[in-house]
Amino acid sequence: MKDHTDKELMKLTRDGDTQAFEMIYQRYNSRIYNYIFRFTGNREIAQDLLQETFTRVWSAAHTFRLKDGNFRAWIYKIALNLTRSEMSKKRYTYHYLDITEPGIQQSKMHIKTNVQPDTEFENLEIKSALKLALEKLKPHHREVIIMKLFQQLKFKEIAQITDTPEGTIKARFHHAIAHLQKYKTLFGDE
Amino acid sequence: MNHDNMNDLLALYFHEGHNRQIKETTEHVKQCSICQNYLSDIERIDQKFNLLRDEVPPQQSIQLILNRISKKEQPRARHRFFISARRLVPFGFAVLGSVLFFMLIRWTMTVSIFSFIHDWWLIRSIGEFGASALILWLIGFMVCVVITPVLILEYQSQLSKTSHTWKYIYSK
Repeated sequence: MKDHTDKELMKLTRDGDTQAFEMIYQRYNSRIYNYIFRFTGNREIAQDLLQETFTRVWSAAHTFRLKDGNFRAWIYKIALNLTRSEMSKKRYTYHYLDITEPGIQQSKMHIKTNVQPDTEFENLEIKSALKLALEKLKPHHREVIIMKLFQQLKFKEIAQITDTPEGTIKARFHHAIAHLQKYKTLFGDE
Repeated sequence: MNHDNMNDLLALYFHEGHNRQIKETTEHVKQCSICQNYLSDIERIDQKFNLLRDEVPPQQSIQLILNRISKKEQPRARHRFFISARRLVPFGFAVLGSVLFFMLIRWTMTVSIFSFIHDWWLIRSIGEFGASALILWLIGFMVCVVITPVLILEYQSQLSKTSHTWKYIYSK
């Protein structure tokens, strides 16, 4: 079953084959989990939405177009819609911060100051500051950065997932880069 | 290429363009310090984000999902016709419109003031059906002639928007 393509696995899944479904899960669980995790910044929510995404893959398998559909874009679209709807809930009106992340409070200060990091601990701080910089982006810009730089999706695929013209996606990418350039300490010359 | 079209730089950095486009952009970037700076900015941001490694999802997730789906009955795929009804509708309208148009032309020919058309050499050679098709083709041609400048203007405004983005970034 490992040699099957995504579409072949979806065909089997559509017929109720749980082994094929598990194979799809093995292929995509890490990507989808990290995709949601980068959006929400919370592991528990990422875990819940991962389960919800794959439950929808199972229950909506009959709607996937086997002939001309792009499975990768389809599953990402499900995850994106679930994440958007989760993030639009009232409790996310303010930027969500995972309090279990170490050094998140220090990282706020790090962005503002010009301290050059050189220790292991400060490396951890950089990561927290990166997460914070990502969080400060507008949702549409963050989506594009996550899909492009973390998930390495093509602009064409991102356009398909978000139902947005490719040109708009590229413009959003440029704007996100322009915003990130403001964090000179993080992204400035070494 | 000129550096007003920054999307070419994305094509170069992410290798998502045609070979010719990438070659042209590479040549341009060699001589343009602004584009070099922008590319190195993207590269720096990309490298920094690579520090955030992917996390491993919890192992028990699959079991929880399988438990969930075992309680749900999977909906069956509906049989579809070879072509969807939504696509058939405009086709049906086009056929109906053509038939009505053909009938209109035939009726026009019966009106006495147009009777001279019957004797026209073109109508005699291509017939009523041919005349209808010719008129339809002429209408289509005229529509194309009218729409083309609009499409060209739209394309140019899109290009200027990209240029605007570029100025926005470097005005920072």
